[in-house]
Amino acid sequence: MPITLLSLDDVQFKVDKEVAERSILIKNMIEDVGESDAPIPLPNVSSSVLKKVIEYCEHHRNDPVQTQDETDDPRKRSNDIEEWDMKFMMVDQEMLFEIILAANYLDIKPLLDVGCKTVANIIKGKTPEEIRKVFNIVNDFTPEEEAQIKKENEWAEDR
Amino acid sequence: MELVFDVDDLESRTSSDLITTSIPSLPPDILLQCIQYLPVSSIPSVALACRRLKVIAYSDDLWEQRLQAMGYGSQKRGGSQSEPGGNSLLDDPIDALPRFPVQSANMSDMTRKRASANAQEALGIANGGRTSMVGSDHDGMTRISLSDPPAASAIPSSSSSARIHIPGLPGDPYAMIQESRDTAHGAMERFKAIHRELWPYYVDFRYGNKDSRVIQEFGKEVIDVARMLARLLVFSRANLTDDSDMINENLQGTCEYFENRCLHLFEVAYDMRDVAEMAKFAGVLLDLNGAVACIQIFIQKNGIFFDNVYEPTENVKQWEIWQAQPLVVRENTAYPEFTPLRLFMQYVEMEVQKQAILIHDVFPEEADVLFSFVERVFEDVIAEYCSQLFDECSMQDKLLYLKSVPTAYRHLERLVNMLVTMEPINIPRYRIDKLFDRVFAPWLETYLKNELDWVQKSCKDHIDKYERQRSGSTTEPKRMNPRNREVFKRNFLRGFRNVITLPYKISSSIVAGVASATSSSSHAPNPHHSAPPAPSSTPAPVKSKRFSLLSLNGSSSTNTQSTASAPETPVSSSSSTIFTSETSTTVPGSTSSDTDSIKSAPGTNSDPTVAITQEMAEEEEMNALLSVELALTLIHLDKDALQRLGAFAALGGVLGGRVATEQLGRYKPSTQFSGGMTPLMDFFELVHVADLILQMVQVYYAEEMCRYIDKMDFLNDANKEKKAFERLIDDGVAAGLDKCIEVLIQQVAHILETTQLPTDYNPEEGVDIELQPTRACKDAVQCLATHTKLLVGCADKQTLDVFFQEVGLRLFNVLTKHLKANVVSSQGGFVLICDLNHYHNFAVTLKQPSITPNFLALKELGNVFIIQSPTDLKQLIHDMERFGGILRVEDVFEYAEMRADWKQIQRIVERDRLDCVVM
Repeated sequence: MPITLLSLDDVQFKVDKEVAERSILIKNMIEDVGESDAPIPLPNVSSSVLKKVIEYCEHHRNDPVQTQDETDDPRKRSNDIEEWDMKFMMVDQEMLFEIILAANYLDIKPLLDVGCKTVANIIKGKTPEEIRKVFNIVNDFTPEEEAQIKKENEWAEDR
Repeated sequence: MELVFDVDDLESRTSSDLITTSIPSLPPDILLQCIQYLPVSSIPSVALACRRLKVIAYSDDLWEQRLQAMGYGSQKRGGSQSEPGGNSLLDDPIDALPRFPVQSANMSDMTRKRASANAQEALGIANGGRTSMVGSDHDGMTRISLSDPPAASAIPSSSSSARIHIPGLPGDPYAMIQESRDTAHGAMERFKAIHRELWPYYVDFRYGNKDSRVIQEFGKEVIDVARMLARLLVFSRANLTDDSDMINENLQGTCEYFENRCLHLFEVAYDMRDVAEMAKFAGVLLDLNGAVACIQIFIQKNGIFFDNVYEPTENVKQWEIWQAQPLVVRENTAYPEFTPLRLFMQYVEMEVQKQAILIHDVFPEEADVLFSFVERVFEDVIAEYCSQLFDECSMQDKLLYLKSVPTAYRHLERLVNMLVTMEPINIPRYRIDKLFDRVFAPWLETYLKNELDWVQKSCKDHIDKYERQRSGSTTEPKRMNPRNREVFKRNFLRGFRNVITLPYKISSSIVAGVASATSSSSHAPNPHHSAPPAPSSTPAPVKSKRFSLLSLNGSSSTNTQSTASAPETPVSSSSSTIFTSETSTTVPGSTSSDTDSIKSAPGTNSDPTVAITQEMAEEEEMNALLSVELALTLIHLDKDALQRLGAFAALGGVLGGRVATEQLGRYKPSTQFSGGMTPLMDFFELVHVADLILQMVQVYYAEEMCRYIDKMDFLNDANKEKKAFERLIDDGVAAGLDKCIEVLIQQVAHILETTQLPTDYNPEEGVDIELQPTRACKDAVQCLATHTKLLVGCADKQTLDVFFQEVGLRLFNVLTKHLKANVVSSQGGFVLICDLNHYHNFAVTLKQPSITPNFLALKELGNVFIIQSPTDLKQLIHDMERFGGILRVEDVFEYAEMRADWKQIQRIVERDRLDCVVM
């Protein structure tokens, strides 16, 4: 039975239950409420983002459910992203962050991971200046503070 | 402290700056997740980007996660609790890392526990020594003002009020981060210290030269190189820099190279038997990666795995040789009991002991090499040997197989015991038991199945033979002489008790004695014994010796022999049912099942045993009703099963805490009699035998079973079974007695009918009468007396009482009926009184107060026939008290009618009777 999802801007999406249940939030909701024709309101997600998220869920509908161990693997690397996911994540920054937030809200762990990895990949290898530029961050340090931080973190740099 | 935003700082900025930045609009926990994916080398840039990112880059959560990746981050507060003043990370960096950084799957849980304990300890030291570590920092880096942990933790709380005002953020996520910061306090510092020390060595591997800085600096001491490499391996897991994958690869390569080198040197040392060198390299490899490969090599190089000369087939050969010997020799020399197996086990034991000493010298105890070695020995050497042995044996002979398994078990058990108590190192009992169980369980299962099959089959054969023997034999069943019976029984029981209590070896001779007593006592007094008496007396000791073997070989199944009873014709057909059952149930155990049918097979094969059985059956036919021998055999089997189970009881515990003993004495022979036989002697004989068996069971129960089971435990299967058995015997006896009474009474009636002459009570006039009981009477009483006497002492008193009462009652009925068939003259009346007195005397001997009145009344009845005057007779007839209410007036009238002169006096007597009726 298809599930109807209702976005922030009142757009309805009909998806298979299996797809919708990629989101742990929705899965738990369905379990709690029982199946009904009433659309599930998602007041935190806009239609454009929800569309994207559904696209991801459709593609990963048959993935095995991640176990806690896998997700908490301490040897995390930012560069082990599937090709499809990589392409999927090639969106503007605003959308990237929206997707991450939606994934967080809807509790779709794999999508959240992919989003975080994408962000990490953007940051990786960049100087502070470049990072600020990419993310449009204003440098809010004084030069003294900056020097101090630099010194404090010298140990970690790959000289 | 830069971790803190102060209010002034915030006020100096426009809040809109923060809003326009896009990345910080993510909640802090998501930001943290993103940064977690970054290599360590990218973190400084993040920290420098802006304040929000800096907080996250400095957060302990981030670094805690790296420490976890290195295998010792789970300790959250351990640092602050550890004793200060321990060795600093830099002063003694080696001890600050776990000794077993690489946990192999082959390593035992124990080692793992130890390793993690080490790690925790190490961590504690690292934290405790933080102050001195910072103090000894020579790198010219900025001194980190963390030497005062309480102050550091105090800062966040004082500044948190300022933070919640940061615009554009919901709630107070920073406070959350700060909280977790408190718990994972100092993670960054800890990581930093480790990083600072190891980084130079680590980054040195970027260019992949084998002659790395580690080797250069620590080259003079192999052990130091190993420890450094081990630490670097752990360190490499923390995602350090962009090209860390490549560096890790190089590091791995160097480690492997180093390991191979050490392994080679270890092998060389092993071949030279240089214990010191071996110990050195074992230590090195242990520190490097737990020395898995090294231990493997060490174990594999032991000769026990590839050149032991012990062949399982030797056992079979030995058996064959023994088997080939003539029967006489075999009888006198016991089967050699798997000598090759014993030798093999001794060899294994010796090897293990030797190896244990070596292991003790070479490896530290926590490497757990001994257990790995023993495990291999069990799984490879012993398992192979045993399974081959069992296969060979089962191909050769079923019995041999059945014997081989328990023997092997016993040997292994000895080995296990040795291992547990071995010096200088040993293996904890629970571990070795588990191993033992794992290795032995599959065999045990097959064995039990086979055992059960065999027992059932062999006893079926046994009983078939016995039955065939019986049906084919025409010999008159012989009986125990009643005079000797009691003595025999006592002797037998005494012997049996000895047999039970004494160890088996000794007991066989006693059995021999008992058995010969059996034969002599049953043969000698039997004159018309048609079975060949010659062989029975002379070879008795020999046979009984074999008989004791046979007893091991006992059988269980049902033996039903029932022939229709023919009460009228005294055919020597006996009907007895020997019902012996061995209930064997398997408890739904977890791993395998123990059955109560375990028994150790005797060292003979089945053929001679069966032959003996036959011989026994023939010779010891012993009235062919119910063989005491069979029961004895069965009990011996049970006893033996018990002994076997005793051996397995320990294993039972291993196999999942089953109460093995509970099932032990399940097996009980039961006897049941149905139908009677005219020579009641036979039946009584049966009762005696049953009693004997019952007592045997009782003795057996008391002596053997009670060691394993709780007597009071009425739910215990053994106890239940015993009760059921006793009940079965009682029922059988009762049914038999019932039948017996019937037969007996019929016999008496028959005697009376056939021998009572019409002239006995109605002698012709003028013939002198002897004032003594008639022949018929004497015969009948004689018949009864012999049979009742037989019964005394074989059944319990209650049964006897019931029996005698019944006999008395029925005799009374028979007599009254019998009397009515005769005509009695006044002269014959005296004879009749004699008879009645005689009956009465007999009834008194039965000692049953409830039936004596009947016979008293009968005695009084005699007067009816001697009174001359009809009037007196009339009075007598109406004197109810005289007959004690046993006989009614009508009855007495009927007897009176039997008077020879009844016609003459009838009128007078009857008139009054009619008057009475009218009145």
